[in-house]
Amino acid sequence: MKKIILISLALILIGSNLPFFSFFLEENYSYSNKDGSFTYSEEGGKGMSFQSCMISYGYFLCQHPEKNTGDIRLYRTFTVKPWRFWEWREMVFHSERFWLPYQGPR
Amino acid sequence: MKQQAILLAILLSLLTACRKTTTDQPIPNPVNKDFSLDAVKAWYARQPQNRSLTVINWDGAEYRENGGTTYWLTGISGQPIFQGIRQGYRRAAFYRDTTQQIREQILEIIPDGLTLQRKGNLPANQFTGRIFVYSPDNRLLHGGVYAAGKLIGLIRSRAPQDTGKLKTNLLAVDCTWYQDAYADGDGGVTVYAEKVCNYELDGGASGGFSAGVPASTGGIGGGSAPNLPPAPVVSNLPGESGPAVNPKNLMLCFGSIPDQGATMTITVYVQEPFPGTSFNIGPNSVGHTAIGMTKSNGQNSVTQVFGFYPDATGLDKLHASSKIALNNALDYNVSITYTVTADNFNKIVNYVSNPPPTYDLVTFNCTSFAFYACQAGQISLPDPTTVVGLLGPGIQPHAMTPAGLGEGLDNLQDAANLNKNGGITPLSKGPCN
Repeated sequence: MKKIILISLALILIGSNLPFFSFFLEENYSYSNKDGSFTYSEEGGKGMSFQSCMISYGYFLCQHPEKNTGDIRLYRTFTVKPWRFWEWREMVFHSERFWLPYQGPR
Repeated sequence: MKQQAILLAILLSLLTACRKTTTDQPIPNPVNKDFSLDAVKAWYARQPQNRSLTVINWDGAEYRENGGTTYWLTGISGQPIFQGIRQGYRRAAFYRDTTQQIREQILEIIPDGLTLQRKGNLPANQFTGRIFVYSPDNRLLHGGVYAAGKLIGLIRSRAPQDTGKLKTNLLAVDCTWYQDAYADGDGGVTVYAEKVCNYELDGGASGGFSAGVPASTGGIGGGSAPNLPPAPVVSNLPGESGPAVNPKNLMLCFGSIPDQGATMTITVYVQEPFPGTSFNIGPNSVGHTAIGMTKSNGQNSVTQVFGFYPDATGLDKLHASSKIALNNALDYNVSITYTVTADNFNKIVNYVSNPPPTYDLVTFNCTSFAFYACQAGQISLPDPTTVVGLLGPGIQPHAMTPAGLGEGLDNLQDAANLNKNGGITPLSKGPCN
């Protein structure tokens, strides 16, 4: 019985981390620059990725040289929720977004 | 248990076999003696030596193939000075043109410094940086800006009549073309125009390596070049990259350019769930289909790239109210572009301005939206309908899917407006009021 429970838990853990479920389960991670003049939100499993965010931010800085001074770091505006086991794959394999400094809602 | 492990191994190997192959590695030397390394050396020796300071490293020559073009690639002396720092390297590429004559082009490859620092040397298919392509007499022909192996920007001399060795000062042509300069490997100053954030593939060719150069150089470098001109026209308004936009406001921007004399194009971008296969799920989850609309009259240009999404979270995404979101810098696998009349363009504008209120993953999703938007403008896309879900007796649900559309586009073998190399979508102007 214990073995069945363990296998079931393992299957749920692995299954919920499959890319297919990112469309349903993954949070739409959101980002902002320091003053909130640039914001971005991912669409889990639908194209809008962290990479797209970085490119968009690069373009934004290019278009707004006045924003390309001082603190130009990109901030995450979502909180890290380590108990969300269905996002562990993202936390392990695409961890860059989670290492960004946090900035709460403005 | 052992049997299951074997089955798993077979399944994994089958999945691996479904992936597209890449061919940017050296291949065996040519059988044809006319294009052997010795033949290339002999051809080079007969050329006017107007580059007496250039030393070619024939020992390191590699025979390569890319996009159906075979060529010899060798290292040559000299190193560019880019952004004030000596960096990058140079290569000579020897290929045969359509008349089978041997031709030469010089490549100056400048990897993006920040990417190099962060990730070290990347494989060719992940190249981030710039590639400048020169003729043997040192005229800048063209080039590209690459990010993670994808072409994201174009490099050109300022105008066709230019020699590529301009002496003008830095000047922005418009908000997407930037003029910059660097010292090439021959020591001369090259002034060039760089089109960033507009990701049209270079179909122009110039008879050589526009598509044939191994995607192994370039870089977006954070997107900000030094010495930028005074603040250009603001096109990205704060917050426009947010999750949802009003489609009417997006479409309003096209009104700023009169129909008369304008060129209007529609591009459908597909991010396949499992690129190179027809699987409906994969590393890119369910995939995505986006639409790009561009209207330009030579002086002004407006581009909007957007997609159809559920305005919900979690499992509610299966069936929810819809929203339109911008798809800036979307990493797509295949795209197709159509030039349309003003009448048909405006029909698409009307369709997009009033999108269907409901998103349904099966009955009306992002691919359906793109398909019917194009249909409104008299554009017939390949039928993107595929079987989805688990097959059971009498149960074969069908849906328009990115995988279905991607496969349909892949099957359009000779369409000139088709891009199978993928890329990154251009950035949108955003909403107008």
